[in-house]
Amino acid sequence: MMGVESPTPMDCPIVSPIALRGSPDPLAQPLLQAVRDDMALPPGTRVAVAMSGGVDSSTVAGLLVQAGYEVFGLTARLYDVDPRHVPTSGTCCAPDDARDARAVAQALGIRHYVLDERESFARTVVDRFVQQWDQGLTPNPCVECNRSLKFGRLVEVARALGAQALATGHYARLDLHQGQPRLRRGLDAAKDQAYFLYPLAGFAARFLRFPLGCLDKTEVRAHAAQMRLPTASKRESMDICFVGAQTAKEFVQERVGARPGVIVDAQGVKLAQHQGIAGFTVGQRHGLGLPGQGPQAPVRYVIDKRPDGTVIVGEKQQLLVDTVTLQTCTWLVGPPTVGQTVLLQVRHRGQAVPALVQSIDSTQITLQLLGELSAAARGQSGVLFQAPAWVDSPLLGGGLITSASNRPARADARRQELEISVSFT
Amino acid sequence: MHYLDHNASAPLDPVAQAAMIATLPELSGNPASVHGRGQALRARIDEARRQVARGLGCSPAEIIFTSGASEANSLAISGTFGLPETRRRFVTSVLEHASVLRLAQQWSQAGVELLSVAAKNSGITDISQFAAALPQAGLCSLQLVNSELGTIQPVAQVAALARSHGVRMHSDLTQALGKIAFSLAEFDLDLASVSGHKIGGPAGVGALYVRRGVALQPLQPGFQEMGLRAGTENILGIVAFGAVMAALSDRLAAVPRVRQIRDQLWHFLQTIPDVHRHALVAAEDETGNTLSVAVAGVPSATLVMALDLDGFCISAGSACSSGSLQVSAAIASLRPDDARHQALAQQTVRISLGPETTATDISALTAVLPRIIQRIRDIGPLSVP
Repeated sequence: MMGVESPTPMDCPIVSPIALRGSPDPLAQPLLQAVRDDMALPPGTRVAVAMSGGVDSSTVAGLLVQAGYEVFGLTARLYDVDPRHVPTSGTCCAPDDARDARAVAQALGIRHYVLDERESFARTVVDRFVQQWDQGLTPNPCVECNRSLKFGRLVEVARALGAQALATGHYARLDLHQGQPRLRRGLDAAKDQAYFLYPLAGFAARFLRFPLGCLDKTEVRAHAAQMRLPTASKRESMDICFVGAQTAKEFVQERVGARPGVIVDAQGVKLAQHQGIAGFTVGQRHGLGLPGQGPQAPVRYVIDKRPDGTVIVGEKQQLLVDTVTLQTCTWLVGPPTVGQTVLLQVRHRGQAVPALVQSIDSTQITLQLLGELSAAARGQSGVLFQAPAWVDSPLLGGGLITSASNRPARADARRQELEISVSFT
Repeated sequence: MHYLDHNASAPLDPVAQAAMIATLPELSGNPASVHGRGQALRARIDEARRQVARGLGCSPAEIIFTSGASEANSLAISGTFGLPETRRRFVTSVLEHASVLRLAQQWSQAGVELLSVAAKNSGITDISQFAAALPQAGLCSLQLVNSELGTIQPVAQVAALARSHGVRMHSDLTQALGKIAFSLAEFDLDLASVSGHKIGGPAGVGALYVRRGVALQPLQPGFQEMGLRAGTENILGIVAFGAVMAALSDRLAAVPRVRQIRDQLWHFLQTIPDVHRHALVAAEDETGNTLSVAVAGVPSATLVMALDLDGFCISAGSACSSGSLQVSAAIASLRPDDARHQALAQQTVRISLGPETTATDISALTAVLPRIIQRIRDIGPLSVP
């Protein structure tokens, strides 16, 4: 054999490209044209897909292959699940999910790379999450993961690998409107993920693509099945990925240990002791361990948690928020202005409530609520959309809630006054 | 597809493929059977054993077929320390394959004193350190060629030292086979590991040379392979391994040409700013097929992926990671106290050529490499948040 120069000593064959074997879907051409329009890149362009191993990003990869792009997949390995708390399935980015992503890439005949991000994920997402919970905050690790990993590291790697865009399976719509990035909610209201995406800014806002923004989950599953993707019927991932089969509270408690503190009412009267602030969430009413909680007793809610470990309980009314201050803000296009009415959303699937910009500077924004908003905990993300409220309201940006004050009497009067001057369509 | 990762695995040699195809119709049966079918298969294995022995310069009775070099390394090391009379000290080098280093750690936890000899900046181990470590040792293991650097280690000298101290000597010859001409007769070894797929055979077959009279505790006791390795033989793999061993001289004949195109590639790489080559040693101290190069500002994993997307197979000197990069222990060990070297270790890739590599492969690489490196450098240091 020596001396014979083989031009292709070892080819890398496409492994069983099952996705392309199916019969043509009658909807395929309009759908694929919509995907190309959304990508705003000519077929043949090299693009990356962030593949979590779930059905959504798998479908994105499949649609992009069918739409004619040169696709490769990136999967971030984020953590090792504690063997004692391995869930049966359904989390994102666990080792099983990396295998699922690989199976999809093999089925599609595309390259797939796993990036070991465990160290930076532990530092920027997990440790910070535990630390913030322990300080009485209510952090959202998915937001931080998007900011640092998806909009940061994955974008950089995709660019370094010559991709012209990074597509993900998020349910949100991102496009350029009058030359500026515009992020709107996904059309599937039940799946909309715009809330988690608010840190999007700068280069990443022009580089990312969310091709599922105009589809609903049922359609996505149908396309996945039509392309015969191995993940087509995979269970949904809903919870915080890295806690495994534990709850977020159990996860934090296991790491910070017992931190005894007191439960007080709004007047500061001590009602009970607790074993750790991590066991409480603002808005929580069950499992508070308060004495005298018979059928006649008033229902008490956690209305605040303090860094010193004090848990404050009160009546439901006291959860209502009047003003909210956000810090560490990111603005997709530009910050809103004082006097502008915006929509404030403080949790995933939460209602966006009208609010008036009271003050804004380079470090923080304070909003006066015009509608009813309950349980806005410090550390949660506050995300602003342009008013009026409808599906096409563009996302303005957001930040972390650093204070939420509750002044019911004044708020009621002010709200009545302002509701007259703001019209909603 | 341009395959420039021969140290990871050589492309399947047509002679290996032909040998397997020729054997397939006769595959039914068990070589341990008394009947004709068993005898026919036994004949195939015996022939392969002769071919391997001839290629290595030993007797067929000294060849134990294994699943590969990793298993051969395991059998050599655990088979030696599994004997109660073996002195409880293991001398090896930091440059060894993971199958040696990980096993050494295991034996260390089981009470065997582990002495790992460092490499000099050149990527060649220090004989004087072996001389100091060998007295009272039960086993010494030193590879002949390093997989990442292509450097040739002083196995003959260390084996002579080991002999003088009455220490059993093992060498992992995996990366040397087919890249440098040698015979076991030159080395005075007791044990030596080789692998099929580094010379064009299929993965899943290798062998341990066990010098006549050297006792080992079997890892998998049974009747096959002189009682040292139980299990019905991997007939197709063994036959193909024999075939490529029989054609070893053809691989060796290609070495000067491989060296020439490797040198051309290095000449080109020097025109790219900030490209550093590890273990730049005299021609007689390296195999001539390997380039271990650090491209400053370009994480190794990124370059490997970027080249893959453009149709080139190379490998990283470090694991695909960010943050706490798992830098190759071999590269990192060269200058452990040099911060710049440790940074370069995270930007090190290995390009390894073989007889199948053509000048076209190299010119295709040189046509795209500067653009890819520039693209990655333009993005700036990939952030670790």
